[in-house]
Amino acid sequence: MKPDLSVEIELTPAFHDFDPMAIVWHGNYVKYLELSRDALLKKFDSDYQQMRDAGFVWPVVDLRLKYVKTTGFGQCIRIRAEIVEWEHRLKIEYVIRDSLTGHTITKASSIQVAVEVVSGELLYQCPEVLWRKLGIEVI
Amino acid sequence: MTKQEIFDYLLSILRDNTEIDTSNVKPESRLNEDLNMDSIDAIDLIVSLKPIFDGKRMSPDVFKSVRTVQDVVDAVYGLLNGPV
Repeated sequence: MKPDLSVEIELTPAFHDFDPMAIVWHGNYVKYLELSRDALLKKFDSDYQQMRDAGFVWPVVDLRLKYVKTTGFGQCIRIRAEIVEWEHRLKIEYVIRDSLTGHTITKASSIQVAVEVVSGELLYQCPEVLWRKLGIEVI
Repeated sequence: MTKQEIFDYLLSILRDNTEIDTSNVKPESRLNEDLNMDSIDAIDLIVSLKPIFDGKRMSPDVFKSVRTVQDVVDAVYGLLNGPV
């Protein structure tokens, strides 16, 4: 059975996250994605510190966002993050929804690659330690 | 798959997924210098080529050593036809 590689978090954007149009400033969504990605990697004992301890860092090399709707003050949002690629790169897809209505607010994806700390070298294949932690059988 | 078929498939990937003008791509074209591909593009290329790998896994060392379009074709051909 394919393991569930997703997580959901919920938050209410802070006062200082809003722009003069009284909606969440578009750049702040990148931070929300980071929070969900952090929770996702923690769920699999693969947060940035644990991966660094294992000898790898994971820079983000590609980030895409599509803003479907806006978020107003006091609105609670739910962010779902799911790992969709893990073999050669770590690709995560995100959907941000209004907690109450379930309407989609933002769709996004990020790509991270593995870099070996010791050599500084970019790896063309994700390290097996990641696969094990995700519960994917190593061939 | 023949080497020509792999080459044609590779061209279709470059045409669909990159800004590269594929009319000038030749077997001897260098990925880095001639096609302006960086290491991130190389990983994208592996992911795009995966559907024809027939479930086999490309060794990262093999891909690290490729320099030209022909090297990629040879590497994929070797993967598909090499010893199990």
